[in-house]
Amino acid sequence: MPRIKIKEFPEYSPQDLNRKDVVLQAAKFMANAAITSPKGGGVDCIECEIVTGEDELEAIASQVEILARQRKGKVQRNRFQAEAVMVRDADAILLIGNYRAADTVLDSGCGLCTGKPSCQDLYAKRVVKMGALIDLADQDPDPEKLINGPLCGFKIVDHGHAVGSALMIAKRFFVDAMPLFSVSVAAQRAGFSVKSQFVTAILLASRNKNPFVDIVPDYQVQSMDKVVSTLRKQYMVSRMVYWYDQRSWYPAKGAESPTEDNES
Amino acid sequence: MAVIDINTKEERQRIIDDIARQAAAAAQGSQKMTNMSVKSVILNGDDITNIKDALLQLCGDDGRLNMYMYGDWKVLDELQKNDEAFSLLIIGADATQSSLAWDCGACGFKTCGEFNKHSKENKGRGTAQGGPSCMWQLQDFGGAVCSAAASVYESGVSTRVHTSFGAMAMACGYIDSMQALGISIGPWKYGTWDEWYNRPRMKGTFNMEDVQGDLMRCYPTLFSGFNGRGRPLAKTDIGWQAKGVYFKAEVDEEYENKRKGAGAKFGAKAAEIRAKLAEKKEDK
Repeated sequence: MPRIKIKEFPEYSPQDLNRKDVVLQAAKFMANAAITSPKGGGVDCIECEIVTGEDELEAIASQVEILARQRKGKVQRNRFQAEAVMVRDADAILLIGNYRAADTVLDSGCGLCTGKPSCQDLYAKRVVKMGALIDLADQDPDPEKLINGPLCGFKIVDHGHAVGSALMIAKRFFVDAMPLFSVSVAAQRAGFSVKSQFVTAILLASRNKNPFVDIVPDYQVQSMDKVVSTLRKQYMVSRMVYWYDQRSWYPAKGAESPTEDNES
Repeated sequence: MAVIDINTKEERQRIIDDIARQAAAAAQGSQKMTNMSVKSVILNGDDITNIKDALLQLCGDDGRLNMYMYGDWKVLDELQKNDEAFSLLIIGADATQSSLAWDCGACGFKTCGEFNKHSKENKGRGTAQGGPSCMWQLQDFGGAVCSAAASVYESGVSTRVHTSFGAMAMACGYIDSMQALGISIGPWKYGTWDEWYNRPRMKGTFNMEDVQGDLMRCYPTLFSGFNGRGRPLAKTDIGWQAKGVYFKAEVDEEYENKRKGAGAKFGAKAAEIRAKLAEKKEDK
């Protein structure tokens, strides 16, 4: 039997990839929980996508940073910037998407999205053809909106069942999970879960320290990634500037003269 | 040490209620993205009778006005006839205002401010729930309900998420919320999937004509003959090609009147139950 070592550091080492693989397995079970969660009328509406890998996570993180810059309020800007760091710290992201919420709505007049016993207000905001068929292809999404609403409230409650189930499974596996609004929007902008009109991104990590809590102010410049990066920079400079080759000469303590052993 | 005999209705009801309490805690403690909170009530005994009575008004006395909802009524009726241990957990929320300021647009408005203004002016109820709603809060509400249902599922008793029971609980005044879903907890009799899914107690309720009629109304293409003329015949039996029966979209006044009549009866019954509950509250 091969020995399987699981360890957090160094990043992307074989032992770290084994650790990430555990998160990936958990993410698959979470996706299963989302798919099998209760749905109104038993109608399918959920798709899942798991995002892993440095480049893929970076693509989403940079979109979160763009969203952060677009936010007018300082609190949200700070929050989104910190969440971009969390994306980079995540081992994987589970995307749960709802592909019915905008155009194949429940049609029961339940009242969740309109407050009335009719879905008419929702249809009135969409391009409708052949009586009452919503045509998303013939309507540009409003560029000022992050999500192309209005959406069917009942489908979103179903979506909540899916997200809730997935989060329960994460808890069961002791995998740290954090659903985030900014990442949900950013992931779609980065080209993931393209079929869905409403997406929830759940960041996943299985590290010695949960990377999604206990963060410092201006986290994007004070994250562990930044600390490690600056350490690499500083250490190399000091090594090159004032250290000597200890193989040829070993520095003496205080005013002592070099010993014979230390001399070449 | 005392011997606890769990084969009594009282002891089983106690266990069912404890499971309901635990499920309510699971809903409250579910991981949420927004700052919304949920509230829960547990109903049993006479309060189940009230939910059942309100529900029947919408189904018609023989259940044929709303066959699906009648399934929920029928199980409640049988449970009470057999004096079985059972509870309903109702989880409610109010997602009609948002303090998130995410301005995401999922509700159809550009900003949370616009949504809040519209919602304040147009707040109301639909056939089952209230709105308009913030979509992210609805998602959290769904997550809370699912966490509760999963908690019951893991305890091994029958359960299901029911829009019908949630809507009835709001209408009868058991929970002051704009959204509510019900979770059945129990009965003790069957395994997880039997009571509220396979519905053994529905046996004999509807005949084959009821079932075929329901499917024909819902999925006409399944019963359509060759559509080469653009007007497929309805396949009513093996001699359909000689009968000239076609599907047609038309106003069904008879059904519509029955439906509206049932709605009015339901409104009156719910008001009666609300008054009864208010009286009970005052007496306390």
